[in-house]
Amino acid sequence: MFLAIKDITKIYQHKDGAVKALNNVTLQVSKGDFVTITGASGSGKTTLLLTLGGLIQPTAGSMHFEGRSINLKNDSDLAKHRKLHIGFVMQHFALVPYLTASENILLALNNSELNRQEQQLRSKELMHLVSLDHRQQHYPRQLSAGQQQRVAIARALANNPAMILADEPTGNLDPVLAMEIMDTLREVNRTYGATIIMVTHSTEAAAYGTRRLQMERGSVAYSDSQSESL
Amino acid sequence: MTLFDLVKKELWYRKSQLISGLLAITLGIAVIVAIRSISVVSEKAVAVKLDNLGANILVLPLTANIDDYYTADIDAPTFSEAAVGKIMSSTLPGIDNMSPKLSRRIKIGKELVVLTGILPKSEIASKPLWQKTGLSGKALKVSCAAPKEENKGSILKDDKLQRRSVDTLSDNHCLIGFSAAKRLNRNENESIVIENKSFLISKILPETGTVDDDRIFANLHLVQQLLGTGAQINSIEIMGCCNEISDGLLTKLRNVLPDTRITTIGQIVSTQIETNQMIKKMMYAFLLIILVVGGVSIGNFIWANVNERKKEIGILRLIGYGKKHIYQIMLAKSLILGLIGGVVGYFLGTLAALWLGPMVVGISVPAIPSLLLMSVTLSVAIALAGAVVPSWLAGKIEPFVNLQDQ
Repeated sequence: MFLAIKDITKIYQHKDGAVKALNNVTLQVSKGDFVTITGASGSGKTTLLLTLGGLIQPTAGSMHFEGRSINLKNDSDLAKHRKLHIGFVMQHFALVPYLTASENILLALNNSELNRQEQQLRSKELMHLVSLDHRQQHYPRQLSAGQQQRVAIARALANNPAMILADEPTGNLDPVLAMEIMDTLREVNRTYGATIIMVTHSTEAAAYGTRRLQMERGSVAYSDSQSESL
Repeated sequence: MTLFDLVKKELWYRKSQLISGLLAITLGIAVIVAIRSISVVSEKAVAVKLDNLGANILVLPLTANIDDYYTADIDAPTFSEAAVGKIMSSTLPGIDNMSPKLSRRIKIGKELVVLTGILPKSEIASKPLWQKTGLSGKALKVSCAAPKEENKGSILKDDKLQRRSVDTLSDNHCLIGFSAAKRLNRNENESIVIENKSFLISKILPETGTVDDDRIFANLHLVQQLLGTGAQINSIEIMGCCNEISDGLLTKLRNVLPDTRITTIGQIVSTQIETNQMIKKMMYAFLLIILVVGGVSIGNFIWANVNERKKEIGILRLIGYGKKHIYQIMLAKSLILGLIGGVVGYFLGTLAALWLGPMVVGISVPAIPSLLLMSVTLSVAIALAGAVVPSWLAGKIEPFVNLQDQ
């Protein structure tokens, strides 16, 4: 199994008491899946996504990625895992404001196996992939919201990750741009075989998924496949 | 895109922050460089002054009158010549030369002159004018005159290096002061009878305007015989190193010779030595201030930067940068600040010293390139020390913090 998580629980400790954000979530994802997760605010969908990305340590449960445990404690190992295997696409694009579109992609290629020239070439290829060849030297503030999100997608693909985690990638875009971004993500999924797990509020965006999950109060309340626990 | 490229771009992006972060450390380094530049030259000026005076420490019997430094030895009570050996065996640093003397007023004909016994090998040709007479013996060994690296290239020349001893003065030869020769109507290579012994005048010394003009110099041991004093002297002139005098050479000498009175040309050197010591204290005070203010300033800059950049740090963590990389970025930033602060501070401080030197201590101050290394090292050390805690805190920022904010 490409990704398998079992009985994942995440409890946040607050002054006012403990909050259980994830409650014994079990999920299996096959390679090439395009999973969309919907749910109300506070249902735990973003926590689940961040946990899958190694950005949050689960309180309990096990996680396996391509057969290897990713219950990693060491920061350096987690950072390496994110760099090599995961690409992130966030609602507010998460681009560094003082770097050009091309430099934002190169940032993700730092310390990669590619030399400087190959990194430049890779950055150009990715900008071409998201149809922004003419915007390579533009800063984020000089790009439209849709263009910024496409740069973010290009950066997410920089290291050929096996999985892309997207948190509300269309949440900040108008409907037309939103569908453009969804088309791009679908193309990435189909052309490159990258597994995509996307959190969204939008039913239109959720419809792009090959599998759909709905979360409620920290648990998977609905899944259109049989493998998830309810 | 290396981490260093990223740091450069970020610093340039927030130029105003960079300038305000640099201000305290740059000004602090500038003040230290200015003070140090002035103090180095000022210390050198004292050394040169003392050297030009020749002997600068006088050892006298405890009961001697020292109202006038230059006549204090004349008719003073005596003490044992063994004191010379005691000083020599003490191996105190900073004593470049000693010349023991025995002086008495004597009459030659109707004229009153001062007969001074000297040891030729150790007698300092202490007055620069003497050297013009051709009294050029062996160069004196100088313990402290080797210029420090930072003094090299200084406009001030150390005359001590050129000082020579009176090399030979045989038993039947004497040197005679300008006024004495005139009053006694004697010329070089003529003979003169002193205390019933005949001497050949080997040199008439040029006029110095001091009591030396009325002295006749002969071999110490012969003078002791003629005056019947035995192995007694009434003064030892010492050519001491200026820096060592500042560092308490007189006290150390007093410990070696507790039964003597040891003095220096106080009124000439003390003011400048005090000024130098005050400058040194000021420098240490500023050093302390810059350590605290500069460190806090850089720390504050980095901390404000960390807070402002939480989202960017989150982005970096998101795309695979570990805590280690975040530390590196923050420390690289403080390293750059330290380097810029050190270099700019050095140049500002040097300009200030060039301008203030003549006003503060009345001497022109040259640029001292070796202070650049000190400035940069100090500045970088302060910047790194100030950045350690904020960098550590930056590394603790969770990757997802602020990423969902616009």
